[in-house]
Amino acid sequence: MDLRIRDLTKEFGDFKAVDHFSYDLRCGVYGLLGVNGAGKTTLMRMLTTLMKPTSGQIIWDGEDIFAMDGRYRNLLGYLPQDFGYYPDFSIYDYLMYIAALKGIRPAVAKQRVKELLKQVGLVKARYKKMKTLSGGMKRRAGIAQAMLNDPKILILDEPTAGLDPSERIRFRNLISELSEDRIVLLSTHIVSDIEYIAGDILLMKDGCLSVSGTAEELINSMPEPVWSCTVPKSRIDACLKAYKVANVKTIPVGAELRIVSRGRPTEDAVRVVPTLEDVFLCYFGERTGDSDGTV
Amino acid sequence: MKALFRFDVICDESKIQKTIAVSKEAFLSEESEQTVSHIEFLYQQCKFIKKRWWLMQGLLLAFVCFLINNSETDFTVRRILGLTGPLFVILIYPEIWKNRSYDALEIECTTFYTLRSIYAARLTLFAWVDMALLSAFYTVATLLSRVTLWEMLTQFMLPFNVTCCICFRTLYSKRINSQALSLLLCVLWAGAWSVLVLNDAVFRAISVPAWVSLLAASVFFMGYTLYRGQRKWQTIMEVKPLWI
Repeated sequence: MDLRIRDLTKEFGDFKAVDHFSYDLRCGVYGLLGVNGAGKTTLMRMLTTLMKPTSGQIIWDGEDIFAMDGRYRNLLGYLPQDFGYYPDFSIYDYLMYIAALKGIRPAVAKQRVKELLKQVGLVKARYKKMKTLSGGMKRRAGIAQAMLNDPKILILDEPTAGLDPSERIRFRNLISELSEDRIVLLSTHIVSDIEYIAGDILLMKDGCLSVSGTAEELINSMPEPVWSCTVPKSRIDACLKAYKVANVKTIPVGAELRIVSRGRPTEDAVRVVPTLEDVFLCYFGERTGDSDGTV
Repeated sequence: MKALFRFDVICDESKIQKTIAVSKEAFLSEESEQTVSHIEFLYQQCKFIKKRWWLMQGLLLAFVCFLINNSETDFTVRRILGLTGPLFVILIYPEIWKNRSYDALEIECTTFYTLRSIYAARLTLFAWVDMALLSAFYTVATLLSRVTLWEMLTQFMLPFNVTCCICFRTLYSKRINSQALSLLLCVLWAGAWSVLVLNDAVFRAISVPAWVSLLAASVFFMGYTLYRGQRKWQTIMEVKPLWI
């Protein structure tokens, strides 16, 4: 059970949204991390056969997914970033409708919908209309529709965007529960979402795969160390311009800064243990000012 | 002798329940191996279509029957038929455009039965119901001796076909993703058609072969639009991301 992405490129005119992307996915949870416009959604759209690549291949167990057609889509569960639904449908009707599109026979669909509603905690709300649901409930209905055919490949595009912290935690736990024995690819720009659940993390920048590995591997392979230092208020702006600042905490004497930098930013700066957020900042972060580096 | 054939049936409730559970499981396991057939898919799609739009279409035709029965001249009948054609299509617009209006395509394009099958099934159902409604309408209108087949074809079916062409062409377009814009084009067409049929001089100037050609062209273009749409449905999703 493997999904191989080979030299995948998608061009829109002169713009390369995905640029020679290659990676092999096997059972487990993969986190696709990148800033907005990095090409995550375009990559996912190709993996879901919504878009054909300009060049390159996506291969499932030795077969091109576009040649597999319906057989591949039978293995697929997909939750788009802003998924559309029919507002007048109840959750139950919506799930039965998607089950019909997935070619699931009615008797099996009823059973599966019942199980999934229980799993996502929507049994009591099953006859509520989709338009009346909260953001979190809609997402849970969304994940239930993606799971209807018990997919081998589950693709979730920014599933936690716009959710409050408790709903995000609940959703993360749900994804963890559902990730057994399948490939789960989860895209987000919220680092903490994948820190806890993703086995491998793929950092994407300008359509390319920048770096990949487990959270630990990414942290250990960080090319720049992380520093903590205290600076007076008058120097905060200068620091923000000169360095990649992960955090600014205001204290009575000035501010405590968390800085990702090759060199020691100030005399009293001490090295601290990096986190995945620091990795994200290291690869994607830009200084807010010009790059002369002087403070 | 009687005693020889006497036996007691002992029912063990738990065993019966176990048998039922195993049977259910076996049935579901067998069912899960199979996918829904095309006919079943068509039936399921029918269940999810809002029937109120068909009712509205039926009511419109009933009202038109009433109007043409009370109209005094052929000119008025022609005018009514010309306006009814586009309106008849416009009434089913929300249901035809539902998938795009609610942005449901992204999920619907990644399922076993894709958007192509969904559109094919839904348009087939709309065609069947419309055919039944229009047949009934024509029968009643003929019984009222107010509409001939020729008038039905040129005054009703021609504008109806052109409105369908606009609807389908925009429905499968990747650039036009707006039901409102598509409707506006239909309304503009209905307006242009009304101007044409309201002008008796222009109307009379159009010869029979010209009417036949227009009708044939509209049928051909409607077929072509559907064929092209069903072949190239995937281009709807080939939209350049907003940030590029």
